[in-house]
Amino acid sequence: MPLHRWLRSAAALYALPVMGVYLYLLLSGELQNIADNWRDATVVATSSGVMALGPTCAAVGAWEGARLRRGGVLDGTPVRRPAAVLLWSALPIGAAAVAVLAFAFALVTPEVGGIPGAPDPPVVAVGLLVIGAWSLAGVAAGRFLHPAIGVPLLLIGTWLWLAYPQALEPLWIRHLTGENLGTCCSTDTVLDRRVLWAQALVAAAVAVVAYLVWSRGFRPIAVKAAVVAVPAAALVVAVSLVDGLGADSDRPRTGGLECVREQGVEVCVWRERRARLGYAARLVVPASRRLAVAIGMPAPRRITEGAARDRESWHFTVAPQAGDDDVVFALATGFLPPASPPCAKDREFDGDAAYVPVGTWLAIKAGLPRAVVAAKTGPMENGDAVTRVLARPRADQIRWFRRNLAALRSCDIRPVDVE
Amino acid sequence: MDLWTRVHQVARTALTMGCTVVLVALAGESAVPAPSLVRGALIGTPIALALPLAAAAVLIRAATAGPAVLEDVAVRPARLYGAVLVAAACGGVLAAGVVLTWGGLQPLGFAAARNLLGLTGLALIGNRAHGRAAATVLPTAYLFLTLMVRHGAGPMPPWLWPLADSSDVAAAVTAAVAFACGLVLHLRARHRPGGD
Repeated sequence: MPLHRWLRSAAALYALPVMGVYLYLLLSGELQNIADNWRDATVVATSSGVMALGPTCAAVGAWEGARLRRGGVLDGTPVRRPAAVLLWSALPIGAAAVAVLAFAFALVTPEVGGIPGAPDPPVVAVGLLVIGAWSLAGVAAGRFLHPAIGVPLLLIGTWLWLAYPQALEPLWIRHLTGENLGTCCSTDTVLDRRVLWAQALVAAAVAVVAYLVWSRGFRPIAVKAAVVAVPAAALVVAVSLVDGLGADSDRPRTGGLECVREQGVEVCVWRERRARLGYAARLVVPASRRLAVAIGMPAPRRITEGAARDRESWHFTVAPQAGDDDVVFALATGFLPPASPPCAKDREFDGDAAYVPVGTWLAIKAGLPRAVVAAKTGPMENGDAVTRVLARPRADQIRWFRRNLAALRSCDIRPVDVE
Repeated sequence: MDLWTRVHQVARTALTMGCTVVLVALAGESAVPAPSLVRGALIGTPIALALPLAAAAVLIRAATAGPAVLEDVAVRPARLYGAVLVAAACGGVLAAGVVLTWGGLQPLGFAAARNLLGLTGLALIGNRAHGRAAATVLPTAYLFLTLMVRHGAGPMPPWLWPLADSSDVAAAVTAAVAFACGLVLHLRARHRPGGD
């Protein structure tokens, strides 16, 4: 068939502007929230792509499937194998999906331009697999459904499957769809590969069943068995992979640090922030020595954005655009636990009341002026408590700090002198 | 008449309308996040308002099924039969929607029935304009366009009727007008040689 005639009959070509506009709408709201790393940019681009392309490609697939049925390509004596016929019909859908996904990466690239790294290939591959699987499901549905029914049904059905699990419990359902928007990744986390495997399994099962149903119909016993067994097996394995996960699909990052020695202390930041490594090191090493004296601990041998695994390693962050005060403040508050312990909701007293006073005290001890700290912590109801503690002897201050730090980490210890 | 009811899938249509009412009742106020061009953010879209699109697709398929050429030259008023099928299905769902909303079972029950009316009307207009294969492209595109341009709060302009709540009179009138236009076009339709 002449190329222009083949393209003229491809529904994907007419749906391409809709896909592009819908993707732009989805992505434009997320661009300013992209973290300073390529993993987040990849997840945002592919997830928006899956949301914009999945339903549209499924609907286009339903149209193409119905067109092939009306053309009678599966009736009579076949000249070409079903896979070859399907390939030529699905090729414009695939090309449109790749083009729109490339458009998504063109939109996110300026947000992470200049940051070391590149798009995460497995995330892109799974995104394309999900889009391809739902396109095939559309083609298979088109074999049985009139396009007047198949097109809206596939559009709504796929849209619901991709978008609705975000509002459902159990939380692991959302990790099966291929839409990871908002669940990954800050610079200190990576996408959990179990999520990718689960999404790939579900998508592959949909694709296999769709191809079998399209090429052989529902009648053969083997197809009937496959329609039940393949998705069931894939779901069992996929659910077992993501069962333990919460709402987010990320896990702490273990590699990717770049380090430098500054006055005998090893300072490490994430690879993406290496341009600010020297600057950060010159700020945090003197601040860490002031802090060590204040809290009665030995000075650290390592200050890192990664996990601080022992008493000689301290944690800090150099957020993008962070100034001198922000870096020192991050070092000081790195001692505070990131969240309350799980048992906190059951205790009778407010253990979290120690967060602001202890954080304020640490920041002042690290060398920040009180006005700067107040600007970061906001108006303090308990400012007097910190003033009173600062007036005490050093040993008393260290006891106060350790007691309240323990209160933040435990549910049995009541904070003292924080009001 | 038995042949006509089989060709026009009356049983399947009745079953679909019943399932739609049940699903709308079960959906409650569950919402799916969808992007808004005006707000630049994701806004929850009640599932109950989008479900009628599938019902409208089944209904339009039933109304336009069968050999159009034969129906054009039939002694019996086949187009009128189709219109009666559409009106009866929509009327049944509308009655159920009224019961759901004013019985306190589902606040969006009447809104969902109104959407079935409006989207079916658009599908009938699409059927006349583009042929029956592409009949549902118009209501599908219209529904998703309204999802993209809504602002999510305050009163809706009449043309955003698919997203209005059950008490919005202007939305109900607009949907009814779309339905009436579609029905009139369906009654006046003639098969186009070469068309599907």
